[in-house]
Amino acid sequence: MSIISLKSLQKRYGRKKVLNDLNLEVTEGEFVVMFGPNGAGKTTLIRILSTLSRPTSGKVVINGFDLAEESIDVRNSIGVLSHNPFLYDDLTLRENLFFYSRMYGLKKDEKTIKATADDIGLLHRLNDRVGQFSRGMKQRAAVARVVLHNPPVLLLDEPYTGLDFKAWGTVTDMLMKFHKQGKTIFLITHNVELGHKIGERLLILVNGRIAFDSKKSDMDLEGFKEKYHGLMEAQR
Amino acid sequence: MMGQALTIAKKDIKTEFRTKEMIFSMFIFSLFIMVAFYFAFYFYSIGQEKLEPLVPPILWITFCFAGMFGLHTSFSKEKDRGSLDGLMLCPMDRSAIYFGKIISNYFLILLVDISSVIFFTMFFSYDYNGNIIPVLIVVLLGTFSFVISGTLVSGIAVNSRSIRGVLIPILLIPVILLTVLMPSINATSKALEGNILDAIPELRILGMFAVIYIALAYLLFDFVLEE
Repeated sequence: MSIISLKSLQKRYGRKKVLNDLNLEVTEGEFVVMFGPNGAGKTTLIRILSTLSRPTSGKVVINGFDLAEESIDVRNSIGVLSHNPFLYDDLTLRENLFFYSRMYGLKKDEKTIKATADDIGLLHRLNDRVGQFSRGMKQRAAVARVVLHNPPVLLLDEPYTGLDFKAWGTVTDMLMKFHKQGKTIFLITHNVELGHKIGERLLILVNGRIAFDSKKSDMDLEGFKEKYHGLMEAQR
Repeated sequence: MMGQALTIAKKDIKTEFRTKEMIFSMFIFSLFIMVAFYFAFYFYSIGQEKLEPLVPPILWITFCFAGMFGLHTSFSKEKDRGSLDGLMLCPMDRSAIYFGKIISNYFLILLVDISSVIFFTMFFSYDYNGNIIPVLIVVLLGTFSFVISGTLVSGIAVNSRSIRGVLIPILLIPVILLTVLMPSINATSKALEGNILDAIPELRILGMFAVIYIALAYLLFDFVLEE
């Protein structure tokens, strides 16, 4: 069953077409990785799927909810993680998680907050201000924020930016865990090796169009790299 | 929606009292405006009688400019640290963000307004003719109307990154001049004479425009925040 569906999606900024007649179906539980050169429209696509930006035309359905008509239900169905953790530096991790759980209409539940903090390995830092955290810890805390309301779809826009090797591994382990739990993951990254390793389906966006769509099993890393670099050259 | 608005307001007030960024700058700004007025009048040896009609405009100019200082940071802080997207991702009507900001801005700006009233007493040895309670009632209502329109303008200005600081006064002053400032100044004059009931027409104007701005924000805020 399709959990993300895009039909003839277009986004224009003035005369510039950023997304050009995009069609895509993502199956429930699928781990999709999207690559593409800078300016291909990847972040614009994630912002539209996240309801942060409106498409110029076309239809988007996420978890059965039409983005144009049922945006609140769409927001309840997604968790969005980018390089920005969307957390408040001046609040403690506990206060941040309580804040977002109230914003998502969840009950103020100390047990859930503790369990979530434990999952990301930050139980011992629950009462520390997020501003004191390292970049990697902030990103782990952001993962906790994202899954607090248990969304079936995770939209990830370059979540690895600025992370060191250890934090990189932690975030990847978390993503794999969520994938095993049956969540649909839509990841945007520039890291071809990583994307090829963890994704099930590989997409390449070039000039606002999906120029390549294949299952990972159909293409080895070297073949994929060659394809990707070829398409990047085409955009230039 | 109101539950989420209150959550945003509580978060804003909590972070503000930890950093004291917004309240401190508003507080210092209002103090400096009072100092400027004090020296201006000191050199012209203005007496208590001549001061009387100037009290309402001095107070409201101070409230207005100090308040704009605060309104500027209300959304821009969220935008600059990226947390505005976090709020916009929450499953709620986005006008909850506007209402939350109204509550926190009102609380913080009111604190500064009340301190300005006290500064005025200190600098000018003025006792508000013994009518401090009616004056404070006008301050409460006028500030509410100011915050309602100012928060909307602050939301409109937030996406214009480079001219954000200039845009708020450019957009806000024409909007509030006739709908907030003039009625508030007139109502304060009447309150100083001890006739708060005479100020009902002005207070009605404040209330009427507050309702209009709230309705506009409720309908448009989703579009206002989008880039």
